[in-house]
Amino acid sequence: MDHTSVSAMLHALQDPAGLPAPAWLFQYLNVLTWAFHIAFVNLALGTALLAIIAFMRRHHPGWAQLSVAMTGVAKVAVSMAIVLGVAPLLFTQTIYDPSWYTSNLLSAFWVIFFIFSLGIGYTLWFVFYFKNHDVAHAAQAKDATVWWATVALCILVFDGFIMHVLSYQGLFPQKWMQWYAPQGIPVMNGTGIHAFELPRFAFFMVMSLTMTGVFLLGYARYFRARSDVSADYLDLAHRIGVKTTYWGVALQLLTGVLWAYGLPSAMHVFAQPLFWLTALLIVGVALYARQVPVGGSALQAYAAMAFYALLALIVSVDREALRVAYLAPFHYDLASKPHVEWGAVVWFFATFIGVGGSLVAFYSTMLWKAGKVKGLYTADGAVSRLGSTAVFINFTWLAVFFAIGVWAYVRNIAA
Amino acid sequence: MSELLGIYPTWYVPQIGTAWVMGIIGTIHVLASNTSVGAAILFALLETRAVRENKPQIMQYIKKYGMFLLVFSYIWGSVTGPGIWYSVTVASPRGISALIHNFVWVWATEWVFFTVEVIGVYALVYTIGKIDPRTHLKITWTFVVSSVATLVLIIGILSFMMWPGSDRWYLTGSVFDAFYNLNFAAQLADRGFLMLTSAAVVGSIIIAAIPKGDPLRKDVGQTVAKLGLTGLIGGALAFMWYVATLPPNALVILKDRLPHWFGYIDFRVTTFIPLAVTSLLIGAYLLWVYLKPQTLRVPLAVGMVAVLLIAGIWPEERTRESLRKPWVAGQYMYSNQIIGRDVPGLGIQDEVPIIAKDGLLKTAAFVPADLRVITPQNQMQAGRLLAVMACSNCHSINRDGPLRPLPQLLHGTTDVAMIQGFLAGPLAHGSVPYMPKIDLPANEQLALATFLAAVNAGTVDAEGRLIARAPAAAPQHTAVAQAAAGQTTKTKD
Repeated sequence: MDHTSVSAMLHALQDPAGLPAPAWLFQYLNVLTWAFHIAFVNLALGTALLAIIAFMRRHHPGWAQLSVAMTGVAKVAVSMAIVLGVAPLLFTQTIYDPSWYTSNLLSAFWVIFFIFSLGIGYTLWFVFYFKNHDVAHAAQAKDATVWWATVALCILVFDGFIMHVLSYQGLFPQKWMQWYAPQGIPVMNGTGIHAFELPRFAFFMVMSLTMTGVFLLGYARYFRARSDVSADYLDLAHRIGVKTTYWGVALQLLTGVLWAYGLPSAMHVFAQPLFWLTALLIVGVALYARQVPVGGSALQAYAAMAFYALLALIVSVDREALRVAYLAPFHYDLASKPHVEWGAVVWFFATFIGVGGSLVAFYSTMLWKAGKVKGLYTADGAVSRLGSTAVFINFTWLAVFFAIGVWAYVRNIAA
Repeated sequence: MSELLGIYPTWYVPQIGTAWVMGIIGTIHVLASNTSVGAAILFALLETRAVRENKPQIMQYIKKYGMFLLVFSYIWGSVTGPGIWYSVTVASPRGISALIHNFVWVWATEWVFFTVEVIGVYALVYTIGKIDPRTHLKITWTFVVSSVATLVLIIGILSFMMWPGSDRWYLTGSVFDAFYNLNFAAQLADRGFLMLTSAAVVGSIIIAAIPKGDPLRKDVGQTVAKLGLTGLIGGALAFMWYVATLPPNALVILKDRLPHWFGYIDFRVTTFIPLAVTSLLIGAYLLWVYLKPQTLRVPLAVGMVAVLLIAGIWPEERTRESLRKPWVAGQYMYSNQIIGRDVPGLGIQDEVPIIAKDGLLKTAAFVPADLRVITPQNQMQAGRLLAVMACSNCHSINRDGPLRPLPQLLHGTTDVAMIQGFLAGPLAHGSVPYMPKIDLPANEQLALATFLAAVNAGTVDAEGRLIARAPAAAPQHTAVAQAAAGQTTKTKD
């Protein structure tokens, strides 16, 4: 298909209802929420791998404890990755609807496979968790127990690959028709995997090591406050954290360069400031992790995680910039059908900041403080107030929701 | 040049069609999410009592149920939640796109509560006995409101899928007019009550796991049973309200699906008899849990969850999906991706007249160039493509498919003119209440009719492939051979 035909097709495929806010707002939210999502994907995959490796060395008490801890972290991280994946999925569909829907339909079988396999993979991880949720269980578990975790991890990685394919195929609208009807006859079984880019996929996967490395630095620092957690174990966790970060960074540089080499020459990727900024940040994470001292200050340890967060955000920007570059020849206009409704925008941000902010503040502060106490934790005044405020804001939200409802409902039925 | 319509490629699933793929994932999700929201309310009621009456043993029940929920609702519920999006994407891409573009901010708001809910459930379960009871109670109440918020937010979208209920939204295009539609409050009440029942039935498994003779069985069991029975009675009343808010086309379908007590028994009856029987069965079960909690056993409780899933939620979801036919969103988007009416508030244009003028093959975005113009050589393939694009979302195309199979609905006719007569008559004029108005130009009607007649005749399969005929057999003389020759060879579709 020529560029003009592709451009016309993309325009026709954009939803006629249009965008209920400026396109840039969705674009920013897409980038931001994808960074949240990939952070937990990385944490889930990285800690899962570490849990498996540590499980096989569980005759050493420190490794057994590490395996148990990482198994639990991976369990929660998968949940968070799934729920945080909802937002970028939503915003992608909003502004890149032609790419996302077409790509999904061309590989529809794999889309459905993704759902069931993700459920099975996650269930298998829970089985492993139940067999490895404390050191006593881990000691009694047979070596073969690790297969539950290994199969689960393989499935989760393959699910990541499916997501990669769905995103990547959407970047080539000029090929969609050829993929759909290769001999002029539509092939509608959805079993095709039409395009992928292994260095790109590998880059996101090995970033899991970087994330897990810096997470371990924070983990080791956090539990220093607990008298029942041995210093030897925390030292081990710190050392493994630094080492894992090195591996992650090295592999990210390797796969990143391969990815960049494979990009179309017209993008002049090596001349782009974003490329060099990303490379700098990747190296920066390793250099920073290297100088965090064992048992150092909280700020030093947690700053490594902040470094990763910044890296994830920039990688998300890179990803968006690439998508814009891939679609640029077809003059894909995100904002071609505006239909702005500010009331709904205010509604979302009020909930995001008010409800989300107050609840996350309450939960995280309470869990943070409770985790540092052995035995029963009694909330101090600040946590108690945060909790009361969160409850109040939550109920207020419901009241406002129904108040708007009465107004709109009456207006609707009176029409 | 013809106007290009943004109709996506089609994913064709032989036999069950994409609708059942969506339905299976949706049913799993509804059980998991209904249970989660209902259980959140149950936890809050129980925990408030535990704190007020100083009964920490109640918290053990909440902890066990919470752990169960993590596996039951927060693996399969959270996977099938986005899973519904994915399955709808591949089954009805323009339908989900219409909903996304109207409700993106509502879904984004729901996402905030989802996130909070996931953090909340872990906080709730893993801090029992580790933080002071009053602070824990605040976690539980915030978890309840977050769970309820996810319910109220999705109901506005689901009820809009049925219809806006007035002309106002078509003129304004406002999300508030779409969201708080006529069907919203009734559907919220119906689902809200039935969630309590779901939570009670699933929660009975945990009660059955409490050691026999433990007074906790009776203490918690009676609360759970009361909540479940309240849900069942409230749900039945709310269902009547729900029916009163349905659009005329849904009422026609509903009437059609109601049991024909003195008439024939066919697949349409299968929806309502199980619902009525299931309600009575679950009501009797919950009453028994209330009266004899000590006699409850895990296998029976698990069996009742299976009954709820298979004979309750599955037919209920199937009915709800069927009732809004032929629409999938706001009575402007047909299930076959074609826009069937103007929405001036959003600048959306009815596509039926465009297709009537230029044809579906000329206007749809994803049609191979060779099939845009029908010739005698490509007529069968063109007919097959039209059947898949226009019909397969609601109908099996093969003869023995379970989803309202077209060959059966056409009574197996091989008369092309008769099929074309139906296409040019009732279908083109939109006079079948649960069918979209599909007004195709004469050459496309002919291609479609030719293909359908050929499927009925068994000369092509649903994939459009010619079916090779076996050569005539030599004369047979034995009685067995003659009897065998009398049987029609069944062709695999």
